[in-house]
Amino acid sequence: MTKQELLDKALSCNRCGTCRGVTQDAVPNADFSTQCPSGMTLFGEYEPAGLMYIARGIAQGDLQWNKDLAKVLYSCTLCGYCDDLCSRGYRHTPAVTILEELRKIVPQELKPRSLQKAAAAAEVPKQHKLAVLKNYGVIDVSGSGTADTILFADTTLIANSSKLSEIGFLIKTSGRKLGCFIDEPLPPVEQALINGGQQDVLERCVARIDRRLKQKGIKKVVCYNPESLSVLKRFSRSGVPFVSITQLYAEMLKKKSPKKLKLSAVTYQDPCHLGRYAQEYSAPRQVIAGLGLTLKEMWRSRNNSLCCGAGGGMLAVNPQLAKRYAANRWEEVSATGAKTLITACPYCNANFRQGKPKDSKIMDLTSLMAQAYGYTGKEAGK
Amino acid sequence: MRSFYSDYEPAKTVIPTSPEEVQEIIRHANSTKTPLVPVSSGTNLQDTHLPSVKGATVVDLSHVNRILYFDAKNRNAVIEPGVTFRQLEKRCEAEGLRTLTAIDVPADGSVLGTYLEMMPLYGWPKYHPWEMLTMKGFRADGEPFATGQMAMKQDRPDKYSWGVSFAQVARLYCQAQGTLGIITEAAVTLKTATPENQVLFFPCKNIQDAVKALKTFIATEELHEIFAVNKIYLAELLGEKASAALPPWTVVLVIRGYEKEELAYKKKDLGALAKQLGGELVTGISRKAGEKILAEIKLPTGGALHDAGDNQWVPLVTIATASQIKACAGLMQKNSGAIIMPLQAGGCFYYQPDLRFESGNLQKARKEYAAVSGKLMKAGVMFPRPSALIAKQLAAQYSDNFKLLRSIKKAVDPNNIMNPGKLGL
Amino acid sequence: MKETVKKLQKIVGSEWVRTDSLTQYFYSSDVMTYFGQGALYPSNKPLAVVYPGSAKEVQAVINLARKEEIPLYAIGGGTVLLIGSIPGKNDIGITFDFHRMQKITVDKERMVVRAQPGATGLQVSQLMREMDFGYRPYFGGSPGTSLFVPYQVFTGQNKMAGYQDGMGINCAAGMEMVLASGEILRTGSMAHKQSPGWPHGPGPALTYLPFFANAGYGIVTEMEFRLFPTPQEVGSLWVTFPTLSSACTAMYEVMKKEYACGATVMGPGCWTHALYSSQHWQEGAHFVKATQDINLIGMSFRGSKAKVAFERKACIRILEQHSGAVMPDWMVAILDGHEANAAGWQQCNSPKICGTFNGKSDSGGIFVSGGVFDSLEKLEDYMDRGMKAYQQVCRDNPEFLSHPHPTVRLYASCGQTYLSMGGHSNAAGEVIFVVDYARREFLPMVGAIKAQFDALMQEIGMAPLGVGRDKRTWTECPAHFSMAQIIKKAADPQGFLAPGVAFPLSE
Ligand SMILES: Cc1cc2nc3c(=O)[nH]c(=O)nc-3n(C[C@H](O)[C@H](O)[C@H](O)COP(=O)(O)OP(=O)(O)OC[C@H]3O[C@@H](n4cnc5c(N)ncnc54)[C@H](O)[C@@H]3O)c2cc1C
Ligand code: SF4
Ligand code: SF4
Repeated sequence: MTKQELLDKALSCNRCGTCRGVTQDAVPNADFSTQCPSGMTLFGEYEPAGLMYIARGIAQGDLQWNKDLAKVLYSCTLCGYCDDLCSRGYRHTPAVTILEELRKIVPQELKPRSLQKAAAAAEVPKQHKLAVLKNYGVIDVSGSGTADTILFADTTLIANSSKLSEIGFLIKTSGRKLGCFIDEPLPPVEQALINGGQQDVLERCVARIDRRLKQKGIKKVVCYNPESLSVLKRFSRSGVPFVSITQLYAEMLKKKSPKKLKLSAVTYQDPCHLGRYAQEYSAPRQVIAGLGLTLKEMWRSRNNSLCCGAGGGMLAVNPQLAKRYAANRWEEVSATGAKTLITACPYCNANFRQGKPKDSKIMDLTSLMAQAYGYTGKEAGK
Repeated sequence: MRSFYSDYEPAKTVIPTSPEEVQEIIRHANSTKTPLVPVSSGTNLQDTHLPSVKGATVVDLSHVNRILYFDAKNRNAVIEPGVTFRQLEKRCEAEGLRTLTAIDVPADGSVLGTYLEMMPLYGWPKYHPWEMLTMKGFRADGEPFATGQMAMKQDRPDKYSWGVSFAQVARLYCQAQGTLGIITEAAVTLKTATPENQVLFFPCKNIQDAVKALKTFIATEELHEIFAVNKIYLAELLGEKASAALPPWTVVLVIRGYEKEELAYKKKDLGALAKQLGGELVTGISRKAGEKILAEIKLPTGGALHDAGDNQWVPLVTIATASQIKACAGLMQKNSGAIIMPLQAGGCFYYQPDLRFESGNLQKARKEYAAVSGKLMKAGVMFPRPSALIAKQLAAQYSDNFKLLRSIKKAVDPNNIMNPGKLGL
Repeated sequence: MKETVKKLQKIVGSEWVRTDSLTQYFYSSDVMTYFGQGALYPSNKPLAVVYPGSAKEVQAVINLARKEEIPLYAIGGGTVLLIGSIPGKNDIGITFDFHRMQKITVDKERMVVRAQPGATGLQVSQLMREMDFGYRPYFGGSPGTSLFVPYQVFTGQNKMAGYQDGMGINCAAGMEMVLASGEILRTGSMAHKQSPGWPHGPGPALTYLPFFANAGYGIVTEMEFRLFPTPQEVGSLWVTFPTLSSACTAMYEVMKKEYACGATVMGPGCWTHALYSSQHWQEGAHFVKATQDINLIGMSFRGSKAKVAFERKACIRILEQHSGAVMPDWMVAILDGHEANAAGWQQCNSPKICGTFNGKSDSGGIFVSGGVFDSLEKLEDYMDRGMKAYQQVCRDNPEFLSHPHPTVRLYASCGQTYLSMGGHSNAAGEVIFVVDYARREFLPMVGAIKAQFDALMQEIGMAPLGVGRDKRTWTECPAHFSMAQIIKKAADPQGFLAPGVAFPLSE
């Protein structure tokens, strides 16, 4: 992007402040009527318009990169709310594009090291435990095996044998034939590459993925991690549909009844990358309903969902701030009366553990599914 | 009446006939340090036109009384302080318009003075206060003063644009009781005279029910005038004996319009609400009641409505919430009249209970007036235009407001000549 | 300054004092400097920005600034036009940002909403709607404005409910302000715990001091506004007219009868108000194209079902008598947001306008002229002659009209509002002309158009708005301004509150 292009985009924001708030007609509690995680916590230049001002200032030469600018830039969780809201009718400030561009052009020495590490991990598969999947009949498509649909193994899943086991168990129980690149995994791409400003690397990785999907004639890719789902959807040119694993669960529940879970009312966090980025709002809700649970929606939900605070690499860059962001969300969880918060994103899950109230529980949707179908955890060793 | 609030007789009265003379008088008073008391018509409900100090000169503005501009199309008039309601209404009548009048301010009262001092207009529930748009006059130090478009040199008669930025100053001159200067010209709004007008009455058992009914009815935004009166006040309004068979409280609802159909839907809507309130609307509470009410609103009688021979009347001019009215109702004497008018869509009320006393009992009455006022103040009730008898008490209660007002007063009136003793300034 | 910053940090906490380059840049400009990209209205940087968390902290900062003789400025939503919240000069002052103070409470009995300066209009609206109340005056330019600041700066005119309820200022009930001395002033409904929701008095009303004063008299820390009950029904009516004058004649008739709760007459290319309620800027752009040759009246009704039906019918009758034609449904569908506005809930709009006239986000736009008029006749005159003046400038600058950018053309638009002046339903209103220009090279032309409008405004006669740094109040209204300065002296003898904004900088 040239400086002029960046400026043109940034000038679209006239600092109207709309993205400070939610857009529902009415709110029961003013505490839950703001939205941008960094803006609502730190105000001023930490609001979306402030970030747009960075772009404007840099593009026009009015501002020079320094620690302070970087601090503001990396306080944003790239939750995408401002962009989504602005394009809903107010203006059309391509905020995410601008924010991602800023993360690209920020001088190397100002990029947090932790982000670069995370980006590197998302580029090349590390030591993995994907073989666990074979125990559950998942076909290795990196060898001679074939399958129409595959599971995508991202950085959070690739070496996590217990989660792999839960997913394997569910695949087996569903009776579906699923593949995965097991012995020679795909680059475990996810948002981390964008957080680190390495969109070029991401694009190269996705091109590699595209080639291998084509070679193997893959028709559909199931993603466990919403951050992978969202980048694959955005950058893949393969034409292959990428879907959330929650869709798989929803179908499974229609065919095969689970056992009744002993849980009082629950609430659900729409992960930014599953919701706003990948537009998947209904499957997780179908799963919750299918499990026979009572869902008490939070006020800010679906495309108005408030980010858990972990996005944009925040958990790595500044876990304390991520925790502060999560606090307001926990208040809203409590206000619903639900004692269990369900998430469908490993990062939300991790961040919400920070500052979790004593009397509340947090559950990953996959674990909940596995439990409902009788998974005990002992299966993992087999 | 005169004697209730003040024991001071003015030393002198001057009668200017033009704005220039008014400025001259102020300048002279500054050089001789003579207290001035501006009087537009002397029909004020309280004592603002009576000196609160010795040796004051009354500036009688009743002869500065031209209607400078009458704009029937835009329904505004530019008037001088001596213009009376009767005078303006006569002009309005000829043009199919009407003047907004105030509770208990007589037809010979000054329009400008009434609006400037924010005496309660019957039209407030519908139109809200702000009937004076722009104004012009002289500050206490003799310098010219104007707001909105009147502050501009443009040579045109129709300067109504009040401009929000001028409100800081314009609203300061309202309810100032002439302590900051003398206004010699103002633009005021007028209303359309409607061909169809009807008065409905809603009898209530007590003051609480009346307040509740006011709040309910005003929410419809279908009324041009609405107020509630107790039996004593109503009897006086209707020219009946106090013993007449009238309800303890009555809500008076005035509906106006251009077509019969318009009045019909309003009557139906209001009737349904009356039922919900557990009562009923009636059209004739006594003979010609409706006509009498309409006539009073058109050209009010003034304090004379309540004075009878030796029996005198003093109103307590207050703004109160529903619960304050409820809490304070018991503080008043059995023989006092009262009128309540909903404001701010029912969020608060103009509450005017009154005191009745015999002319001979002046000192006692003053004591009682101060005591009851004190109790009301304690309950949080607000006296927007305190008389000199309670001004000090009030200024102490609102000490932060009055501290700033005093320093403004000092700056604009260094010789303290404008109506000294008022407002506890 | 370093020492001062330390002291400030001690008052509000170290996180809440910022002096970095981005902060200074961000607080040096607003929509207006921004539209012209600094060319028409320059930016001025503050030395530091402070985010107080309470009135107590505001008080402490004021005391410090007074002692150290540092000018203080204030920003609410930060969306004001005309640089009201930007320091009067580069590098001289400290700016307050109130976004840590966002409390909103509704008092059902007194029917008032109390808001701290950091609460946005949108938040307040959402909460009130939930409680079945409405706030009728318009919330100002954009949803991110603070509830009460809009009315200090602009007029808060509700195009569709204005003439019954007045503007923001007409709905103020009371306020709490920290004076230059550090003392706290509480007025009207906030004077005491139980004060009724009445702004006037006792004695001269101080509640109105902050309006348009741009923080020149004191810093407001809380404000109350009156609320309205939610009407049973809301309706709207949109009628087109062949000429502006027929529309105005018809409007006079409606106003005289006081039907509808607010109405707007719009000239050709009546995008302003169309877009105020369109769902998306593209929808608005479509509307603009469709209305290039028509004049339009839009009005709202509220009340019982019978009231809305009766008034609507009566208005159709009146307007049709003056050759008005009721607009087709597809067009009305675009305009539905106005009904929510009439009920008393904010519909967010202005950003959409900018979205439209900025088209592809590579242009600026500027309000060349606008003001509050006191009669429909003057509005009509201004609009009519203004359009002609504009067209002349365009003819003189053909490259302006023939620019390939579809939105680089003046949408001279006239939003006239019968309103608001005190809610007396006498004619009054504003006209806004907006020029859209793609790049800075158009600025001279914009300047030429602006000059024409300014001259016209003076000739026709309009009080200056006094917004931001509108110096006309100082230069053209001495009989007003000298009194304002007396108050200023009493309230802020040292003159350290917002110098160079509503009051001149002392040299
Ligand atoms: C596109 C657009 C369209 C608009 N359309 C309209 C319209 O149709 N009708 C209308 O009425 N207005 C309109 N406006 C103007 C709009 O009302 C203002 O932009 C808005 O009211 C400003 O509010 P704010 O909270 O952002 O104020 P700010 O930008 O924060 O400015 C506030 C002003 O008040 C002062 N201030 C701030 N806080 C305090 C405090 N605590 N104490 C004392 N002083 C303080 C500041 O110094 C400043 O001068 C429009 C604006 C835009 C951008
Ligand atoms: S990003 Fe959009 S919604 Fe947010 S302030 Fe900018 S223009 Fe307004
Ligand atoms: S992406 Fe999210 S955190 Fe970042 S500026 Fe936008 S709303 Fe705020």
